[in-house]
Amino acid sequence: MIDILGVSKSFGDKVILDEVSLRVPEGGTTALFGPSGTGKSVMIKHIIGLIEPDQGDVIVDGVSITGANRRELNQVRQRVGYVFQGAALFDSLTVGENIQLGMDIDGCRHAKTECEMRVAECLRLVNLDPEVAGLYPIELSGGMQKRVAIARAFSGHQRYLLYDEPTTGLDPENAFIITNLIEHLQEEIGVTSIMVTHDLENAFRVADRVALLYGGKICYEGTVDEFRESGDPNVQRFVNPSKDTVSEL
Amino acid sequence: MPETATQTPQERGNILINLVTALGTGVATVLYHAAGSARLAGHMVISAARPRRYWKALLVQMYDMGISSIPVVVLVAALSGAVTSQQSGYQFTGTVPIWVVGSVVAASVLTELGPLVTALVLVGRIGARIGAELGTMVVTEQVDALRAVGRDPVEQLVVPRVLAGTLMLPPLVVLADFIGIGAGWLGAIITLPITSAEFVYGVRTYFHDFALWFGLIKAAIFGATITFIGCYVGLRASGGAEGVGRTTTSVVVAGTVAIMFWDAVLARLLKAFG
Repeated sequence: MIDILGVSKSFGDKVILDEVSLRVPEGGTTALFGPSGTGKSVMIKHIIGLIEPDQGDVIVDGVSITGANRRELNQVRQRVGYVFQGAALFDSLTVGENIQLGMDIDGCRHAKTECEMRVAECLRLVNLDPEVAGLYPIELSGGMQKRVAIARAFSGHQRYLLYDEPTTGLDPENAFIITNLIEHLQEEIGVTSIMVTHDLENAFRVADRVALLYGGKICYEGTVDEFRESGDPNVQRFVNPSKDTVSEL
Repeated sequence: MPETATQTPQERGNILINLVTALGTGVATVLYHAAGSARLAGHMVISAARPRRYWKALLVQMYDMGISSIPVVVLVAALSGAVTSQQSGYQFTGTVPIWVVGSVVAASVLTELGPLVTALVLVGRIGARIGAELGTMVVTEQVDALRAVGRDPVEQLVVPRVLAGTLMLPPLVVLADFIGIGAGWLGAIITLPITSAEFVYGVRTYFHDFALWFGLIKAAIFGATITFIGCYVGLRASGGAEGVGRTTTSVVVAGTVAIMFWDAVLARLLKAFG
């Protein structure tokens, strides 16, 4: 279970997160919505210690991220995979080497054949041919790079996957494929996922729960059905933006 | 009437306040970067104790900084040596014994031109490349991705680059010394009234081991400086392509100033110990 407890974060004078709390239960997918620049990515980066909170704490399976030493942080990172918005694959490494990086946080200590088999298995799970392992990221399309990034994130049998806008920048067909993939991974390897996105349509297909971040706070939390039917003004403003709501902003 | 004469005491006070504020900001910036550099250097020293984790990257960087830099180092060293012999030849002809040209070329190349010109060329070739490379990795979240998979960016990115720079500059400087003196000799015997024997006599009259060793020590310090600044500035990049461009410029400017600063400090040490 992931518990975000009263996390606050400011950059300079700008308050990004203001005592945000969110509990992510085991299993299922939680979609984190919110307008651009509200701190969704900042919030999930706290979960693997890429950003330290000014105040509050994040607990992952009982381990506190705040004040954790490098070994403890790496234990958490072994359990939590992160899919970056722009894929963030290492240009100088092949696809296979990129995937191997996620397998063991202290370096790939498995036998070479074991590594190769796991890379092939990860590629199969994201619907890519094993031959892709020998290519460099620059040789792949944007959609394929996203799939490799997802493969890297779960290659070490991570229990949690954090997706930072997984469908942003992709055409509708590729966005659909990636969403299907997230759904498929949820069923096949049973990970718990948090997905930061603006893509309501695709998010509703895979998410069980929804949280809405507005003005540095979680202003709505519930199931997908509850969210769809909610009369909450923040939810309405986000789901059905109109001239009136935009002028209010 | 001068403008200052029309300024009220209030305006003059504002100018003073602005000056003090600018000075304070400048000092604070220098202290901020000094503290940041010290932190990175400390982290680097601790991380360097685990060579198993970065030796492959170190070899790649050594090849890239060393072997790939040879053509530009050879070209610049040859031109520097040839120009030095020409200039000194024109100045000395008819005034001092012509064999002094050999001494001047050897002294200039071994203590200054070899290490300094090589370092200044490599600020552009290596420092700017490191700044742009790491800056791009920061803005495309590759550095965050490294941390997300449990790797230490300092251990994986900074240590191999700084070690490679420190180890590869001295051999490049030795090469530059040979090429510079050789080009100086060739230029001299072709265009000046000097024989090979006279030139060699001049070189041997000046030459002492300490100059060569000192040049190598300087080269190692320059190599560490160029790569460290490239890494420090690169890892602080922000703001997309424009930010990476600013980073590259900052690396070249800061690297050049730092090299000149070290050269001045080390010249004093050379005088003291040599």
